[in-house]
Parts: sequence; structure tokens; C-alpha cells
Amino acid sequence: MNNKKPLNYVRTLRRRWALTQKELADLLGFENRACISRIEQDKRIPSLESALALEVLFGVAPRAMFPRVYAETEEEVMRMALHLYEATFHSSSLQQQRKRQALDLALKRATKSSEAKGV
Amino acid sequence: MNDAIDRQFVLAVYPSSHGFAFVLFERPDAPFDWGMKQIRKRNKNAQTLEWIKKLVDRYEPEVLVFEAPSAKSKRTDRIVRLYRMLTHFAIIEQLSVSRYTRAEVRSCFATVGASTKYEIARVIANQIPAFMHRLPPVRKIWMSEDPRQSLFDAAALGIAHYARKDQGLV
Repeated sequence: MNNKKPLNYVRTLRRRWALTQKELADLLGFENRACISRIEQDKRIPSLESALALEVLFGVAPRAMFPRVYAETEEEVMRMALHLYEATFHSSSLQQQRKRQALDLALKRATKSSEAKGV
Repeated sequence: MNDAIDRQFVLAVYPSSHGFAFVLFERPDAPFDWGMKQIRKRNKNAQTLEWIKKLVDRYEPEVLVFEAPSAKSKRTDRIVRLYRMLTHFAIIEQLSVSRYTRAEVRSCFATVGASTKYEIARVIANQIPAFMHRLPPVRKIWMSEDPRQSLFDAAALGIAHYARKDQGLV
């Protein structure tokens, strides 16, 4: 128990369905259960294939299964989006306006999810 | 399961002669982690406290829930001492503590017609499907208590905590 706050639901879902780490490793195509252990303890971020395989298995979207990774990714993307927004702010070309629309929508979605979390 | 970043955990623990059981709740119907730890060595209380400390360090719960032995309680001196140690530990760790007597836990489940330990365990198993496969068999009079029962006792404490919180009693 070295790791603090393992903010993902892989262990919870695995145990909810009475699966062992070995069984889940076999289902996901890992060589051994250590990979599952590392994912459960937040020591390893699963690949896209593994995240989708977990969704197939448990019916839970990666966003909900790995909330911290999602939050960190969202924050980073929003930071970069802000840079791009500022860079295109003074341009009135249709192409740049279209980009700003996309960034606006992304920002609204991010704000909405932050409000839902009470941030 | 959504928005788990800001979640508040409630850690319910129930010591037994075998060791202790814990259930870490995110919501009353959604335990995040649970388990039973067998402690066979000497100095069981120190070992139990050590394990609970590891759980607290790992999950940083808001509330620690455990039993408040009543005057009629048949809990051993060791476990009563352990409860005192847990109270001190919670003060040091700045954790909120909620303690409930067995009668208080029973009263929470009385509304659904469960009064015995087994009936309460069955209600919990129905409410939390993850526990269904851990439900111990009905205890006969000549049988000692199944170690799995302690998991349901811990869960009952956690659920009682949420129920009393909803009623504004906590």
C-alpha cells in the first residue's frame, strides 16, 4: 500500500464481479497479473486498447473508470486550447472563427463538468 | 462513478477474533474497496491498527466508522481496547469518528424487516451486488460465526452511518 489515493475503479469493478487479477490479466491479454496490479494502484496508465477492453468487459467508459487521468488530460488540453484561442483571437477569417467555435464548445463542456464536480 | 475526484470516503471497520473487516464507501450503495484481513500473530491490536493506518494513508477517508460497544455488549476486552486505540488514532489523524451501537445499527435495518445479523447481511447483499457472493450461509446454533460475517458487519456500520446522516443525526 505505497500509493496514495488510487483514483481509478479497476480494482472496484474487478472485485465487484469476483474476478481475480490473473483472470482479468488473461481477459485483457496481459502476460501476468502484475500489469493489472500496477493499473489498479495508479502506477501505470493503461493503453487505449486496454482501456477499451475494460469498457467492453465492465460497460464503464474510460472517462468514468479513470477520473483522475481524465481530469488531468482535460486540464492540459484546456490550457493548450486557451493558447490557441488567444493566438487566433484577432483573426476574422472563417477558418479561425470555426476553430474558435470548437474551442468555445470544448471550454463549455469542461466548465460544465467542473461545475458538476463542484470545482 | 462519475466525478470521483472530489469524492468523500467513509471507512467502516469491524474487528473480530480473526482479524478485521473493512468497507470503504463512496456512497451507501457503492463501496470502493472492501476486504478482510486475518491477523493471527500476537499483539493483534497493534497489527490491526497498523493495517487500518495503511488504509487511511491510502484512501484518506473523511470519516472512520466503528462500533460503540454498549453496556450489554459481549465484545472482548481486547476489542474494546482496540476501539479506544482507534479513537486516539482518529484524533491524531484528524479524522471524524462515528460510532454506533449494535442497537443503533439494527434500528436502521428494522425498517426493511431485518433484525438478525444474517437478515441484515442479506439486505446488504441485495443492496450491494458485489457482496452477494460473499454472503455466509445461515448460521446454525452449533456453528461458530463465519469470518465473512464481519465484512457485512462493517458494511452495516457504514450504511447505518449514511442512514443517520440522512436523518440529520450525524
